[in-house]
Amino acid sequence: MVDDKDRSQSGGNRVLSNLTAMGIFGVLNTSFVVSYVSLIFSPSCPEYFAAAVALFLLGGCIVSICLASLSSYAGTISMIQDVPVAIAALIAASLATILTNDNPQLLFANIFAAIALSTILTGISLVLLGYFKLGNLVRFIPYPVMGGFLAATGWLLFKGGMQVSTDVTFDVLHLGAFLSQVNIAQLLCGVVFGVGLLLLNRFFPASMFVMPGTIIGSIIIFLIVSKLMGYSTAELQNSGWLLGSLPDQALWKSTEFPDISLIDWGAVLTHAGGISTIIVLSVISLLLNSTGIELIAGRDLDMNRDLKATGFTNIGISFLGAPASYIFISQTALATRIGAKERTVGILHGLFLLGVFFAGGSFLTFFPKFIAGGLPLYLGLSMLWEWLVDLRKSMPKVDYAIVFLIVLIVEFVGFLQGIGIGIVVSVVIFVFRYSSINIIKNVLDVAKLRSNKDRPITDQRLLDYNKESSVILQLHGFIFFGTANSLYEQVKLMAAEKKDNLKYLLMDMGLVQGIDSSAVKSFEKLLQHLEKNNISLALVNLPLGARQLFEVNGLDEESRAGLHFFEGMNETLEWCEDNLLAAEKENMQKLQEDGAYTGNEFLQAVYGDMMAALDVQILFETVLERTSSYTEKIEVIEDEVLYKQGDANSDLYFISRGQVALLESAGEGQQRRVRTLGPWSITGELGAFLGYHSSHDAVVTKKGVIYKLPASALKKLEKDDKALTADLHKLIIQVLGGQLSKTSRVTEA
Amino acid sequence: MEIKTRDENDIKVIYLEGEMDTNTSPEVLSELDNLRNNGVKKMLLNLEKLDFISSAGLRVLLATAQQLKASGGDFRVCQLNKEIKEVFDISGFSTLLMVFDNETKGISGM
Repeated sequence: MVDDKDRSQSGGNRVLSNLTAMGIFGVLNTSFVVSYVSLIFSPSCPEYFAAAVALFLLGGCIVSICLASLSSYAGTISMIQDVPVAIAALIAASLATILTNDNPQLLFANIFAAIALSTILTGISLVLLGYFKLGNLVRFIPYPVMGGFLAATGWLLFKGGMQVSTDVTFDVLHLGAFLSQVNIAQLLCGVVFGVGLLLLNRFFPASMFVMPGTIIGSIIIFLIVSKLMGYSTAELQNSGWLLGSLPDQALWKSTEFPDISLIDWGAVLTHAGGISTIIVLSVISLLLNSTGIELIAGRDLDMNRDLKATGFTNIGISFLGAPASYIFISQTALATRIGAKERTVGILHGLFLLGVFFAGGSFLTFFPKFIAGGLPLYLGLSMLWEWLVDLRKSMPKVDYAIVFLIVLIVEFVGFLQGIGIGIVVSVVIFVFRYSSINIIKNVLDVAKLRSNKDRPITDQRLLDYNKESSVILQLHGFIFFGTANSLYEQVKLMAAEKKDNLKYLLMDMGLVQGIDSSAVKSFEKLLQHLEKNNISLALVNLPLGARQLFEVNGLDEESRAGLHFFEGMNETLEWCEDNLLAAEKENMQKLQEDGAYTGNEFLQAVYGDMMAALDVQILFETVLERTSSYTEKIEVIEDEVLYKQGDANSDLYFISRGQVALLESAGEGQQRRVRTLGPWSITGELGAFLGYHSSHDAVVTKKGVIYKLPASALKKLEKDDKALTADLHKLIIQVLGGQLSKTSRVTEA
Repeated sequence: MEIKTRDENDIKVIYLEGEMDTNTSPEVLSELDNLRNNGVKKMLLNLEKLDFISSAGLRVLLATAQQLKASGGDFRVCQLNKEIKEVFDISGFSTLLMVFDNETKGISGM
């Protein structure tokens, strides 16, 4: 798949880029295969060197072609990877000590089996991860860990480049020894080539010719200078300036599979730890590599697709005894940078390896070693610059320290340990940072938020007087031990500030994403504190499964008197208001009987509002009496439906006695109560006056008497009696105005 | 609408019988105003035999209670039957006025 940007490249340039990438990576990866085989097989069974090179090349060819064809990123370059190879070499060395050392055939068979087992298990693990769509798990890896992984990869590439250029292991702690062993001219050529390439790419980042031009130009210059200085090819080979370590004959002739009967599975399985390490590292590396490619390519990849493709391919190549293989981040990045972003590049690379498999590798003898080493050196420096130098400007110091820490641990301890410690440190810092986020989004009291139950003015005023008695905490985010403890501390402070006034603590968790078991323990501590201070805790709109989590931990309504669960804020508020009013009235009654309460102040305080409400009620009753010839009196019983949501209802209903609930559909067969209307209320006004369909069901919840004024009767009334019509309209305005003012304080939770 | 009274020390116990609606409420208001104007400062209304009370009736009770209490007097009601108690509860008068189960409790401490 080629995106629009890629299409902007001319056909000729694309072909040139693809061929350049094929040449560069073909030569590099052939060299890598030779070094990998040397590392694993040479110490114990050098007789099988050519056979192993052939099998690894064939494996690399299959991996490259399959993943180039199947991966979500078209420009994927895949190959056998160095980390599994390094562990496979350790396993091979161990097997050589366990098994008879003087039988190379036996050792080859068992090393082959151990590598094949690790590769097939890696493949199965990747397929399963992809099948269960767990590829996105890698997105939870913190950014500093990602940066550290890429910087450490850069460092390893740099080191590898130094080693390939000089044939001497680069050790930063023993620079003196390194410099004393290397050919300084070769080292300088490699470093100048790598650093030069880095600078050229930074100065001309958009030019796709910098990389292939520099490589081809360097080879030509090297060959011309060598010729002018009078060196022959043989002399250059002997002095280590050229590659050329492959056997001379066609490799396919050397292909040989082990004798399966010689495999000692007991010995192989004693290395289950090493094999497991390969699996874990391969999975992590693949996911990190893919994420790294996302950053380089600037778009999301389909991780699950890539996991399955890589998994199946690894299962396939395991029969060749090839180590775990997957996307090569540095080469894919380089291919992307030189404009080789098509599937063709990976396929050509695979065909190149196949060509080496069939034709042998004698042509590599003309390839300067400092260029083969200078390329990874450049890639390493480039990644180090990006993830250690550039990142410093855009990253908080603590996060940057994690990146640096990972690089140090990778260098001095190990790759897996570096990533592991990086993740642990990042998680600890994340927990610390997240804990400092206040999970209380809003703090409200019952004066600001009311249930939708219709209450008389006196009750409303009593609730106003008791606003300190309840607090509504609207929580958000994720509740775990860090945030729960912060919540506990804040509630303690809140309760102390309100002294003995606080009686109900309502926690709305409608915006909470989740609660873990560690948070439940903090809630238990919180509940103990609240119970000690006679404060009830109501947990509302809990996330899925949270209530069971509380109950499993002994926090249930039966055993904890101070704990209550609710599914909606409205019913919670109603419960809280009812309890507050009941307690207040009981207290008033008691004081009244003791002669300590006259109710004088309260009466004076609500007198004006009560008289105004009574005036409306009187108008209501008068109008009903005067319109009796137009209305129909209905004796209603509980559950009787006046009209349904969506009905074209045009009747006006006057509730004289009883109670009516207005219910709205909440989906999945559920209904939500919008309001409860008591005596002296009106409903059905939207249909009667505006012709709207009903937005709710009107259901009788308490038997009583209702007067229905049909639309036709209303029209007749308007024609018959203008004065009565005016009083009716005045009544409707006053009643609906009152209902609206109450609605403004009602929660829709 | 029938209104009866009796004296209990300085307390006027008033018995309301029948229906206190838009038509009869002015009569009750007039009677209560007369008592107030004649120096009655403490009233206890026995509503046991009151069959119905409209908002107009409630308004009369509230206005009288407010005036008496504002002038340092007292206003109480007692012995509400089921219907009247329901109206008092719905309208908030159970909380607003001093309501007692019987006359004895109503008179006590007045």
